Amino acid sequence: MNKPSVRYETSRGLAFDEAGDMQRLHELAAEGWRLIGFKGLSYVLEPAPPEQVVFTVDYMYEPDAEYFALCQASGWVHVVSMDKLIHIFKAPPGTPPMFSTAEIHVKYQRAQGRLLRAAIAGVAVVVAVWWGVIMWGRAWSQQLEPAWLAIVGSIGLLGVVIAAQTLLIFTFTPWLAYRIRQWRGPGQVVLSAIPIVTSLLTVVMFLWLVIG
Amino acid sequence: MPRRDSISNGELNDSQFYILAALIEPLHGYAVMQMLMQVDSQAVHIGPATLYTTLRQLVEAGLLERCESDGASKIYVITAEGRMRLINEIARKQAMVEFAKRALKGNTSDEQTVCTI
Repeated sequence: MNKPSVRYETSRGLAFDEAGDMQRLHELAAEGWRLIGFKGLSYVLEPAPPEQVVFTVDYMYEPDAEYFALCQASGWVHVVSMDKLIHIFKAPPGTPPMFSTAEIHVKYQRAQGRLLRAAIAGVAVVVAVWWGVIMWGRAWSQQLEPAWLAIVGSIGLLGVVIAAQTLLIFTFTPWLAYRIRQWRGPGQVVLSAIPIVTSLLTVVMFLWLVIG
Repeated sequence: MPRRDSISNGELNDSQFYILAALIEPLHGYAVMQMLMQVDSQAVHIGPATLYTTLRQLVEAGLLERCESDGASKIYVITAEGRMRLINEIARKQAMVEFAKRALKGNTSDEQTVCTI
C-alpha cells in the first residue's frame, strides 16, 4: 500500500514532553517520514528515504545566520522553525548536544519568551470570568423561574468557565512547564495537578450555583 | 532556583571563561569551538547553541567585540575589560584551588572520613 503524501503527528507539547516528541520524530525518520513543518498542534511529515537521526529543539528569537552556521558546523542540521522562536534540528546519533549541560537553563529561560505575557493574560481572563460568574451568576440563577431554567443557566455558566480555563492550557501551563525546566533541567514535566484542581473548583462552583 | 547571570555578578561561568580565554586572538565562532574541542573533553563541552548565546552575552557585557563580519562567520576578540575580567577570574579560581589543596594536604587518604562528634 502506498504511503499518503503527507502525515500529521500530534505533538505532546514541547513544553511538557520535549524528549517524547523528539523520540517520536526519530522513530518516524527511521520509518521514512521527513519533518517539513507544523500545523496547529501537529508536526507535518512527508515520505522520504528512512534515516537514522536524532532530533533536538532550541528556542532562540530571530537568530541570525551565524547561529545556524555554528549548529551546522557542529553536525546539527536545521530542519524547521516555528514562530521565529522554535527551531528543530537533526543530527547523526552520538553528535554532542547543542547545549552544554551547565547552561541548559538558558534554553528554557528563552523558551518562556512572550509566553509570560500570555500566561498573565490567561490567568487574568480566568479569574475575571470566575469572579463575574460567582458575583453575577448566583444572583441571576436565584431570580430565574422555574427551577429548571436556573439549572440550565448554571450549566451555561459552567460552560463559560470551562471555555475560559482551556485558555490556561495554551498560556499558563506551558509557561509554568518551561519555568520548572529552567529550575530542574530537561525531563518530562507533569502538570496534571492543574486541570485536576481547576476541575474540582469548577464542580464546587457549579454545585454552589445550583444549590445556592 | 533560577541562576542569576554570572557576568553581572562579577564572575564568569565555565563557558564564559573558556570562550574569553580562547579569544585572546581574533577568531570566528566555529574556530573557538574547534579550539575548545582540543581541550580535555571531560572538562569542557560547549555546544553551538551555548557558544552562540555566550558570545552574544559577552559582547553585550563589553568583554568581547566583533572585529568584522564575513557573512555568517563573525570574528570576535577580547576587549581590555574582558582581559581584566579574565585575569581576575584566574586569580579567583587559583585561590579556590589553593584552598582546596591545602584542605586536602593534611588528609591524603582515599577513604571517606568518619563523621564523629
